Amino acid sequence: MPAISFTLDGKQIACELARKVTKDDLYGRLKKLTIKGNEVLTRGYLTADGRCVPATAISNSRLDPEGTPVDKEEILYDGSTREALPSSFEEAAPLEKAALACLASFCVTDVYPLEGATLPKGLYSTWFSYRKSPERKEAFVLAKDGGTFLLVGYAKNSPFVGKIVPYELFDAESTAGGDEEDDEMDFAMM
Amino acid sequence: MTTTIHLEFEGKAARLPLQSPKRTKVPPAVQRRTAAGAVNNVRIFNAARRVDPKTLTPETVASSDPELDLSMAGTLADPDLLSTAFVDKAGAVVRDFEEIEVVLAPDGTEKERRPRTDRAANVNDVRPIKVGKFMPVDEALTSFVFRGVYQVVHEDGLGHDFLRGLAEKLEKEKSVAVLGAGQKGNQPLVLRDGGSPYRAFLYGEAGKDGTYRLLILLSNQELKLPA
Repeated sequence: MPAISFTLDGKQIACELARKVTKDDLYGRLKKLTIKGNEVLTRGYLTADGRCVPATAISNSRLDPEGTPVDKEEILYDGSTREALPSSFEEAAPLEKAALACLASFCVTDVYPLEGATLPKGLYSTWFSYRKSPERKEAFVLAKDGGTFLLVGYAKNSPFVGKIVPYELFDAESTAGGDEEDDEMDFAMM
Repeated sequence: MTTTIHLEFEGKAARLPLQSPKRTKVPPAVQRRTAAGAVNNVRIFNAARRVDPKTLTPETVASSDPELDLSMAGTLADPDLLSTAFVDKAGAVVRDFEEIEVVLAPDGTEKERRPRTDRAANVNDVRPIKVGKFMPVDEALTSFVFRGVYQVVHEDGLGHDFLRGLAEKLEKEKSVAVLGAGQKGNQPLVLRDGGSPYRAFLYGEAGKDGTYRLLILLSNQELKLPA
């Protein structure tokens, strides 16, 4: 397990980042199969000229405007280049105490147990970056009975509404369910 | 586009808009470019050919390239000109197939096989989503992993009073309410046709001057370590 450290009130908190916990680890998963008799069929594609090719025969690629496969590219963030920041394993992220209510407007994408973390129970805001990157993800560390967890994701700005609803504060184009993952599970298992 | 939720609490039901709050931090717009210009993501045919490895002999692999089909390699695969097909081991297209789902336990063992079902959205059904039992808010926030957050808002004065009253009650009791679909109000919520099912919790706060905040928190995972 990779070693990771945080700082809280100037003190270093060293621990280990365990493997990500997914719902598949807890409840199992649903696998979708297409079958004929006992044979499991594989997905393929019919081309315009009637050929049948396996799905593995199509790859994603990046091309420049001249059609040349791109080897080296420049990445712009909001129109400008940015330096890659150290990852969470190279720099200790500061922990700041946060109200538990912050979790009510935080969408979690990844859950990592932190082994060996000696933190008082509570919620701490921080950042997380698995790799060197110009962008760091928002995160919380939650110390509770049953373990300490690193919750990685993004916060949403849910406003109080009065008589008049401020619709400009909501995503106009998003349909409900837009944040959902598309993977399946058998909900009876939860 | 807004989704509507049909919500019932203490014998009163209302159809209300469900909004998606914006992120607090807008992710940066990422552009990739080279000296020639912007980089485009495309799908191309590689040279892979369907072969059964069991049929290959060392001599065949050494003398030829049966796993390669160079006839279309490098050409663009236009998604509009491709149709999905299911093929058997022999490479033949199968037309009369069956779609099933296999339930696997956490250790990967198969528990059940059943016909695949397509879930329909149930938040704006004839049967309203029921505001069920209350649970301490701290317990809910530390026991579940919330994957999505949506906000219920009103469209008129009656809706405002209904939601404000619900938010006040939740805040006063320091609780979240478990939401459930179906006749008994114990089914998970499905927000869109074909979407995933989620356990849902209603989180409420009442603010000053008649303001309120009612959030629907969606979870598909408890916050715990695997057994």
